Amino acid sequence: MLAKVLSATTWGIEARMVEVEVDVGTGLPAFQIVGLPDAAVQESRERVRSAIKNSGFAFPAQRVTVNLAPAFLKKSGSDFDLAIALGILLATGQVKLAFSFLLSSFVFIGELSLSGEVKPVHGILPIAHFLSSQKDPHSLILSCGNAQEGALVEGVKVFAFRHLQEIVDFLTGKIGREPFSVDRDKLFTSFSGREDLAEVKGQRKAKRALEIAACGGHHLLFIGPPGSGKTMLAHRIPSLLPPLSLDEAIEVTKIHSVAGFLSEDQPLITERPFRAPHHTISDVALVGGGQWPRPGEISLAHHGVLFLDEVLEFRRNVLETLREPLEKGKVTVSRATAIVTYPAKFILVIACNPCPCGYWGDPQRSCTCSPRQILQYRGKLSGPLLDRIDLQVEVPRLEVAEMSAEKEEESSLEVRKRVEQVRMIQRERFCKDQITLNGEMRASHLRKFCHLVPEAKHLLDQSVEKLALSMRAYHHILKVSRTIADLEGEERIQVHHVAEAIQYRSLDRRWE
Amino acid sequence: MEKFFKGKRGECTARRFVEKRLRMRVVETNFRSPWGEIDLIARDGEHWVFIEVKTRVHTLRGLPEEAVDEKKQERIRRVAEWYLTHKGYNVHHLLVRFDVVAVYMREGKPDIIHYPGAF
Repeated sequence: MLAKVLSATTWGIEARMVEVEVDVGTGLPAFQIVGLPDAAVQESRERVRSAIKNSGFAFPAQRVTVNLAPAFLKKSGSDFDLAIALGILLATGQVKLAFSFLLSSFVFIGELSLSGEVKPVHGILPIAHFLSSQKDPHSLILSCGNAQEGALVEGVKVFAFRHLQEIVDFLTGKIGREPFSVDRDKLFTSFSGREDLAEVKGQRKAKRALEIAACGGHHLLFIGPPGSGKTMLAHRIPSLLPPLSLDEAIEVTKIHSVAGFLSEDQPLITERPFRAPHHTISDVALVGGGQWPRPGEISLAHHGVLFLDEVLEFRRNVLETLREPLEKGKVTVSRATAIVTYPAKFILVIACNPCPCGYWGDPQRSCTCSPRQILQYRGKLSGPLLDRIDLQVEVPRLEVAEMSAEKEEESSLEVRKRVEQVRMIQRERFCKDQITLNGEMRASHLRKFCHLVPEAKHLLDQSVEKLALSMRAYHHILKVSRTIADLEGEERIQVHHVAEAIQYRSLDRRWE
Repeated sequence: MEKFFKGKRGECTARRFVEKRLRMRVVETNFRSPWGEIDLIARDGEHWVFIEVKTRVHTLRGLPEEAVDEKKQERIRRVAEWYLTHKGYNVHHLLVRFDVVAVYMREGKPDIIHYPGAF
């Protein structure tokens, strides 16, 4: 007897349907799974066998062949356990579907435990999202642990169960079930108290740069002696960013779902991600990859912030992998098993000391490094990478007077109001261009939206020539001046906007 | 030699058990092939049943049924296939089952456990 049950699997952060065909028949007793399964799928044979037995059914002493179609798609993970078990029960006639039940309109996803319990799996949101985008959405049947995640997407009915036996009762019409629903607005209201910008004393220039970065999505470099507040400043950038929109939240959650970072009590990621990997990270962990590709830190930081503290301690090859994603906003990982593209639009914030001992250029403490050491140290930040960083800011040591001053600093909330204002201007400007931030502008956008007054143009041309800046640096200065102009609500870019943008650029030149 | 007789006694006990208690029709005992041996071949309704008999006097070295490891299972499968092919059947059209009968030779009455569809 043949049975066909639908399931689905993730593919990058997208999803594909998988047909699980089960044939039970004559021949030497065996249990085979075909259709490019990996080791985890092969192991499902043992789980399915025990789960069926322990749910009060009999595992057939016949030849059982399971085919996962389409056959060219490599299958991994335990997502198909449930569909395989139901296929066997249907093919052996142990389960008779209720008359009104249309099997082909349901998609089954879940791992089975030996006792027949249905366990949650990773990557449900991409699947639900995929189903909702189809003309005639299928309903989802999954474990209770996945219910909230699956129900986040509108238009897909989700039925959640704890045990294989319950699902069988549902299919045979013995029990009824209401579709699971989740209150999305409630998920959004939970806002945890973030660190506040007011906690950082002084450093007006660095704070200004933070604000510009948050407004336009520009990349940022802090350089300064140890203890000057670089890390503290960087950790406060999420508090300046506006909350995620629903579409953004779903996109971010999809990535985290595939990576397996979602918990049952937090099915939707509503706060902008802030990723700060340690400097021992490998290139694959940063950009994504592995035999079965997984998203890396840059994709986990999508729509948020990637902070590389002590950037000069990172291995050089690791830093260089950032180049293409910084330009493209996505990364394509090619492996033998799959070629997948993960989104990676993030604000890059990096921090470093000016030299190995940390005190080069400090007015009070003398630096003990030799010029050669300093050159070698800074050589790690290659020109091409530095070229892509729009805002390069020195964070000097604080004066004692500044440190002990009781002056009230501006809070994150006030800055965020301005940031939201500027982001609104950008949204209106780019409403037809599929981008949202000044930092994402391409050459064509620059021509269209960055109109300079003649004096500003003159200043820019002169500085590019004097400072020997690249074409890319020229474009980046234009983008930053656009954001600065937006902060003042100006339509045309004035001289002082360009001047400010250029001075954020000058740092790399001074090093030489 | 003692081992051999112990095994033989166990197989006789198992055969009686299969015929009298399980109501199967035994068609071969100790079937030998180039691949190895099968203790009992029987018919249970439509099923062809290949039975491995395991005898133990004590459980110091584990339970008798534990001695049927994967290598042994594979060998029995191969012999079964060989047997049915030689009889002129197409294996893919038959219902086939592999059972294990474990015999504990206790003093007096032996303990027999039957595992239908063991592998």
